[in-house]
Amino acid sequence: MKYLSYILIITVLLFSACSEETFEELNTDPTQLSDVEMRLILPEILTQAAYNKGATPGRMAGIVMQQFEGFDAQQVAYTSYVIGSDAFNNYWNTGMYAGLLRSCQVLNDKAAEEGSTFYSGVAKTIMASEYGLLTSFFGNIPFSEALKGTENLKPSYDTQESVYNGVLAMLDQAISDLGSGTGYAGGDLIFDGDAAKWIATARALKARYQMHLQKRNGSAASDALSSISGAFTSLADQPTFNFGSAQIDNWSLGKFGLERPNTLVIANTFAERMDGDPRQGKYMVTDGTTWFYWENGNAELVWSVNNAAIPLISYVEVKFLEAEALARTGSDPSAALAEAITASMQQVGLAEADYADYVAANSDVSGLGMEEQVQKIIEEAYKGYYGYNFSESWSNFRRTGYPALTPDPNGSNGFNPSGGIPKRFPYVVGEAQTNADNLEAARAAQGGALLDVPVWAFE
Amino acid sequence: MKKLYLPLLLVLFVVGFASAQRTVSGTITDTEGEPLIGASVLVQGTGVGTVADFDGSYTLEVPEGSNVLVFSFTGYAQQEITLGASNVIDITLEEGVELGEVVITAIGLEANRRSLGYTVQNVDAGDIVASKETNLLNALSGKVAGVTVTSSNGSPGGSSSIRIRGNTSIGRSNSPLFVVDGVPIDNSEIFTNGTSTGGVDQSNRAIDINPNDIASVTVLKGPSATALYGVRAANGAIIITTKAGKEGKPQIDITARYSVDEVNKLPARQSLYAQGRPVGGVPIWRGPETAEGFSWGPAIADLEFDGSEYAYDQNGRLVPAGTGNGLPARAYDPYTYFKNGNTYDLNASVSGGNEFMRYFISGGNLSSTGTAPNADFERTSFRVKLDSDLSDKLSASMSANYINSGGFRLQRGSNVQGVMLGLLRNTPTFDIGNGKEGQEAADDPATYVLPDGSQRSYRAGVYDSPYWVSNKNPSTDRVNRIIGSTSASYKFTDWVNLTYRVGIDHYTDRRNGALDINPGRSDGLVEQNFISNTDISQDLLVTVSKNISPKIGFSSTVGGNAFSTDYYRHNATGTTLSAPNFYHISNATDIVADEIVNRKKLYGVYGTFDFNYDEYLFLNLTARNDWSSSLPKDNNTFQSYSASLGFAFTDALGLQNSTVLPYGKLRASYGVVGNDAPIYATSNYFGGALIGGDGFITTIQFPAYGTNAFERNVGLGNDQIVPEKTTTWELGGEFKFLRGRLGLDVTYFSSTSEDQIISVQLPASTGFTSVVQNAGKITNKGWEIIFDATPVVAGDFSWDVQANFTAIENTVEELAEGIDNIGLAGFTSTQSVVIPGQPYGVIWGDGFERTDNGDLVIGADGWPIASPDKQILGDPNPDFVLGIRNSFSYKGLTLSGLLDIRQGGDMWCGTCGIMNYFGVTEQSALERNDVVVFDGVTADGQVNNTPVALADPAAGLGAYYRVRYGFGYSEMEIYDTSWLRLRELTLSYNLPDAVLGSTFLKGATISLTGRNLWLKTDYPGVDPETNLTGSSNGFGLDYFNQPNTKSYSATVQLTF
Repeated sequence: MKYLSYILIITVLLFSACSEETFEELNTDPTQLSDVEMRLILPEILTQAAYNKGATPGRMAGIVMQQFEGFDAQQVAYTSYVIGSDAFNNYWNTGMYAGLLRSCQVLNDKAAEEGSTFYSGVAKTIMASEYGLLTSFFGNIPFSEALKGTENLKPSYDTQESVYNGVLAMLDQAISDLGSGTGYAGGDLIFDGDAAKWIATARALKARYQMHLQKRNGSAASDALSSISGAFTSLADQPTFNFGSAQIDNWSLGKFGLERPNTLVIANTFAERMDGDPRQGKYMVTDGTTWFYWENGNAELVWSVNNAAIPLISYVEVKFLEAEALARTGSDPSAALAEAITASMQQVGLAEADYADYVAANSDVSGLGMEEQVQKIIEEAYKGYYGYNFSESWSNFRRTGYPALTPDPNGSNGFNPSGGIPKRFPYVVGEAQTNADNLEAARAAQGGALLDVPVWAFE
Repeated sequence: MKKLYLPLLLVLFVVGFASAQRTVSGTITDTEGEPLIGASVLVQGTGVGTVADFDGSYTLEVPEGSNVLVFSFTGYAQQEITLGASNVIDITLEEGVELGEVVITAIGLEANRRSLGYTVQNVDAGDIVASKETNLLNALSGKVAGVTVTSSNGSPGGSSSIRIRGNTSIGRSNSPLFVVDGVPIDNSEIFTNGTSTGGVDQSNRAIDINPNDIASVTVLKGPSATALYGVRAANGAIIITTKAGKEGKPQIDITARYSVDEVNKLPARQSLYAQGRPVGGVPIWRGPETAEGFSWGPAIADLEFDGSEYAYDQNGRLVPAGTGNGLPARAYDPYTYFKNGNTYDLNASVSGGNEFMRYFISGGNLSSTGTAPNADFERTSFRVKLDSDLSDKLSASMSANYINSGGFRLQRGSNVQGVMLGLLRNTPTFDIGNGKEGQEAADDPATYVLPDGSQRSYRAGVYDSPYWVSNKNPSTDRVNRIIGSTSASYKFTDWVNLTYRVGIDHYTDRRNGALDINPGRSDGLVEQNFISNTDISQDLLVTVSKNISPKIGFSSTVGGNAFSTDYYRHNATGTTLSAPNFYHISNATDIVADEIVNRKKLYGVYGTFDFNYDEYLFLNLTARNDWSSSLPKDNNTFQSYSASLGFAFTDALGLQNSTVLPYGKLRASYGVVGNDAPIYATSNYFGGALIGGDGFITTIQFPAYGTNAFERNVGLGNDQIVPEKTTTWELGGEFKFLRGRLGLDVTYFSSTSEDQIISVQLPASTGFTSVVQNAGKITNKGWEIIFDATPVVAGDFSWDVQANFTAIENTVEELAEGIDNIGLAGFTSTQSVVIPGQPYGVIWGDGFERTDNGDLVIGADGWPIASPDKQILGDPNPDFVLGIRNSFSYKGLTLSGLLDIRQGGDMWCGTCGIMNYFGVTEQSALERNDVVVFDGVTADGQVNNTPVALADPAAGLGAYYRVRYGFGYSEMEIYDTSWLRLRELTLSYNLPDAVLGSTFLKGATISLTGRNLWLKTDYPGVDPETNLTGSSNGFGLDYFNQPNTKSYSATVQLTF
């Protein structure tokens, strides 16, 4: 057995000779970083926020709101409300919670550590805005226990009411942080570090989510008007994200046109509604039978070109919100409505000569009652939000019932038993696989969560 | 070494000059003087041989230069006789001792099979080469109990996966370790151009081993057999021994094969209805220019051509019958796309040696074309193996194997740029071949490009025409690989031996993939990948072998192993191509580059201790300790160990001479093998930011917009991981009955894999989507039965049977707290998953609502209701698999067939679902006018009696049965894959000495082989031996997979 000791000695020598790196060095990925600067985190947040507007939730809201319809494959099923737990899985997972919201949390935590109120303010602004959208889509969502990593591997779902309150509080904190706005070192692809413009953006977002609560909060409209007073006042000052023209950096709706051709087209009813509207040629093109929202290389189609300019919240929306809030508080909304429609026309590149008649003919609502005024405003917003703000058309519809739409005749199914126009998006399969107890509790708390169950705010 | 070359070169030139030979004759008897009818005599190292006739006599022409005869007979010890002056050799064979077959066990040790307390199974060279498979894995199919092989498709160079005793690991590879001449080699399948569900299928790297170089394959099935390899053989091991030279004059072998492949099974299509959909309640024809996807148009019989100028059909557009030019519309068969593939395989070797040095040198070239136009695969290999005895005490050997392999591969799977997607969805009224078929159509650009430069396909380029795919979406790979090893052994005394062995497996793989500009649809893409992988393994071991007492034998090997792997991949992806038909990165406008570096080291110290008592009771103990760099620093070591006991009760009881049961052995073993963690799983990282979250469109990858950006990875690191552990016990027995004419080897095993290291999905609301953690327990229990028999031996005729039976019951016992489902592979709608209490890999997806007793719930409108929750839909694990080989030989003629039976096992035919959706299956035509009442109950519990029309144009396309539930509804497309197939059928003929006598040949064999000639299955898609996700852990998924093939081949084998 003396050979045994020889061999062990030789073995040890052999190993040490061929081991110039320690195990720990070896098991460290040389192609990735263990920490990054804030300026390198922010670009992802802004890009993802804009990308989401033309991604699944945007397109799905467009389908539900009958601006789009499925022509082929999955989009056909969506058109008749066969919208299962797969549909939003990617959006929920890598688009939002483990994507944009994750990065907002990382940025906000880092900013707090390093004392940069600019980055914490912007992180909170976007985070609040996206949580607001998320709750409007799904109702109760993980919020107060979310994004805590190993601290909480099973986040529970907060009620929609508390999420909206949290969103508004977060926007207030953002505005406060941005008031000092220190420590900017790059990465702001939208305002290049202009904190004042971010404050105006946060105020506009506050107005949006205050109006989301219009059915639940008697002072929603006056709250919104107060927020709007500090919001931006022109298209030029809205937070616009400019996509690139190549398939690697283009706008998501342009991507969908290119990569999933002919699966989604303009709904005929929407095409008819836009007949005679100066914006029709900017929104769609026809081959005689079918209207398309996308055509390869067609630069006229401003909402499906590759290098689209996408507002995170637009001046158009601010003015429509203002018009509705004015109407609901008993003031004449006509001027705000005219400004909203005008901004919508200018946003798609039309000249005054193209739209002046349309604005004149559609903005004077002074003679109408409040409900008619609201109806007109929301119907105009439906046209003015096309292409970049589908979610707010759907929120408006769920809240006000305008414009009047007829549900798809084949729209009754296991996901949407009553067959009406969907009132929420379905929870995702990933949560069902990993967070089932909390998900079940959330469903129970809302009286179910199929597509035909309204969310609390819009009930 | 210079001295070596000269004789080798001479050998190559001196071939075949000797033709003088001698005739040897004699009788073969047993110890009692009875003739052994059918006993065989072979001239060693040649194909020359004969069998003893009724009186035990034989006559044999022995070629000049050969002087060793090998006598053998089932149930008797083999004997080798070196010829002297006499031409008469009478021989007496002794019974029983032939069972002392030598097998290779872990770390290259040799053992006498009878001394093992666990099961191992050998496949010899003949059985591997006879299957005429390019991929070594496929050549093992049906030949080893406990082993299942699945080829992912029939493309040239296509991947295959192999499992020994089922799937044990959820997160890690379930593929066994491959070892060639003591050197572990890489068998990974690296997806680059695409993913596991779409893109290009790549080869698994064991394809680089030329089956013609193999002398034998030993399959080590359980931890008792593999514990010495430690973590790397947690899933068993395939031990390959290559051919070596033998002392004697140079022998040259040349083998040439030609095979023809054809597609063996395709889904049945309809030819009755045209492209189109209902518009305003009436099915109308909508031609390719509308990009219409559906074939829910009018009946073809009701249409005719209008003779107009039309880019998509020379006869014009389709119009209702009576309104055109009278030329009736017709259905075209898109399956004419497939052609015959063929394979040329040429191998040559020279071997021989003297008392100091033996050599074996070989070269081979295999060249295949696919059944899809332009697909091909080529492999060229050279191998040199030298064994030398440098002195009485020092011996050394060295081998080097160079391989150059690669091919032209076609896109497949979930991929609008894939062959099968555009082919199977194609509408019956569009002629994708434009009047031509197969290669001829593929070679004519007018088939797939319109005069205006845009794509000619049934949806105007939305889905690529398969002919476009063959030409415009190229993907090539080129592997250069060296596998080399050197070992030296020093014998200190006749019972102590020291060996050092180092082996290197290094390859580079250069891949180029492209999607050409598809005008109006896509701006094109070029993807380049450079991959390099280097595995180095060193062993130093000492073997001691000494009897403790006359009755107690002892041997032991103790050693250490150092293993390192270094994988590097550089990727450059370019988009927006400038010029068509130019597939180089310089043609791209935007380029993104990336690199991956994966490194790991593993050190092990091991020992094996064998005791035997009187050569009938055997005890083996092994232990190994590993240290792995991928485990957390403070907990990076783990142990593997085993104990096994073999008891040859026939020998203990002195029954060796019994005619009924001359040999019987009982085995019992217990073993534990560990498995380490994936690399880099212990910490959190920030990687390049990706903008995504939409399954329909591509991501945006930074750098973009003039800046770079990073994001925290969605995988949560874990520095608390402990190694996985698989514990197996097995009981078994080997029995030889009736003088060895009947053999049975039965094994029952039970294995439990605990502390599974799994990338567990987290609720994304935590900010992470997964964490690597110890979470799960899987059990596998099963029977492996090997049966062999020689039912008839009469004169020159003999009939042999060998059967391998495997039945494995696999259960996922538990997953970590709060986790009820982990996806292995697939799509969000249909996946292969693990769920506690279920078999591994069950198919999970969209299904209908059912009552508690399983009835369908039917809505008031008469339609079944889609459940909002996903369900378990099927179990892809077979109940059992059985391979039965029957061989009949008469003189030099042998007929052998391998029947492959698989019972049970479900598969999701995603292909069928989408084809039904588009209305192109035969099924969709047969049921089109049906009005049915679905079996089930309504919400109030009444039996449903509401009739529904399956495809009522008046109700609109969205109301159709095949459309209303979405894009191919999972539950409708789960099928049983049970099959019965004739996997191999071979007729071979050894030319008799009478013919060879006058030539310079020492042996010649001609054989005809059919592969997959017959297949019986109810599965409606392609051949159910298919797997979308290649060698990944998921299975039971078929989504536009490439079809499988059957083939016919002729082989000539010559020995000089």
